[in-house]
Amino acid sequence: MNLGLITSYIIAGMLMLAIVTMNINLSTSSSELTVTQIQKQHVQTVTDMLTYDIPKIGFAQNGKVTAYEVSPGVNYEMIEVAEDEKLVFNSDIDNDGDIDEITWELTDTKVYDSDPSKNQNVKVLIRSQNGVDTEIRSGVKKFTINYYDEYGETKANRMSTPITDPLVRANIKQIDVELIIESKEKIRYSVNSDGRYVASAWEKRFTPRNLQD
Amino acid sequence: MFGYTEVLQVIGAMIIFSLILMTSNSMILRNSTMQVEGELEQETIALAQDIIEEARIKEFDANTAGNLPPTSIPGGFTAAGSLGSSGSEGNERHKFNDFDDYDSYTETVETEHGEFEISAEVFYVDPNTFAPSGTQTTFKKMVVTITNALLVDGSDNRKQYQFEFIRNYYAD
Repeated sequence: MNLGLITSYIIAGMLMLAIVTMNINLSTSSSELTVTQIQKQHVQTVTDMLTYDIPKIGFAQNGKVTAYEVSPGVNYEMIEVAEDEKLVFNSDIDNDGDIDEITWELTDTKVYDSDPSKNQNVKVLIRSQNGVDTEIRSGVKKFTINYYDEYGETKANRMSTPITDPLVRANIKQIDVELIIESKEKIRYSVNSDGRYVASAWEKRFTPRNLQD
Repeated sequence: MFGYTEVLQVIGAMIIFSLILMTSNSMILRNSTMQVEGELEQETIALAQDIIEEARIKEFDANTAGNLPPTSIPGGFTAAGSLGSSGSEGNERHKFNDFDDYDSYTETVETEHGEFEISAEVFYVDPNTFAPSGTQTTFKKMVVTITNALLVDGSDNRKQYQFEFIRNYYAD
């Protein structure tokens, strides 16, 4: 075999290798972008529900829910449960004159429990209205709720949870929600890489009007 | 040219391939930039809303915080040059008790997406044109500006994301 032919084979090989690598990179980047967009849609769905619910905490047609009796002599609380990953509050959420109990809770149930090849970090988020559950299986990895008894207080000074004392719960003024949603499958950057889940995060501090003094 | 033909062909192929590679690299970079910007801009909006939502539930003015409104409206409101937090409130948000206390407020907020620099200003605006006014009116405007080290323009300067909110004394 002559030297020219061997050299051309080597150069052709290098070119082919470079083209294949470039192709993989391009396809990984496109996949990542697509998955990120999907994750953002999932985040948007959850945040739309949260921004509909949380500002209405304590709302009732003729003032706050605390003016209404849940049973003779016992009035509704605005917030019934204030935990790290669980919030239960009362509100006339659909403005029909009846007080509704709304629950947001990140459960321990894995979304892909039956399929270990899928993301095992994500859990089922539940939004419940008067005991009727809506399961959100969009890949919620983190759903943390922070409570503040002062407007604009720093995160370091958030209230410690769970807040079991109703009098302390009545002091809650702001609620901060941290949300991270992860993809179902990993994106691999090379044949040997382990890959990683694509995540999208969102955080917002709510100032519900009815929690005002 | 005999003997150099193959070399020239290889050089030609290399040039074509380099061009393709550069295009694909810029595409990957654009994809990544879009991903990061989209994610951070979402957080930017949430942070601005936090401040605006919080400020709008406070009193319109320091002089309306009492049981009775000022005898003259808008003349009895805080003078345009004196808007902002008082000495005891400083730059501490939890001490603010009225809408214009957020004037000149600055904060660095740490989130999952890194640090965001927040600043706010509040001023009176003309009721008809909503242009800044040097005297008291029944309208105040809040402008929240947010920047992040990863949100930059073509010259690597931080992009300023501004969110505005106009509040009317009578429409609370």
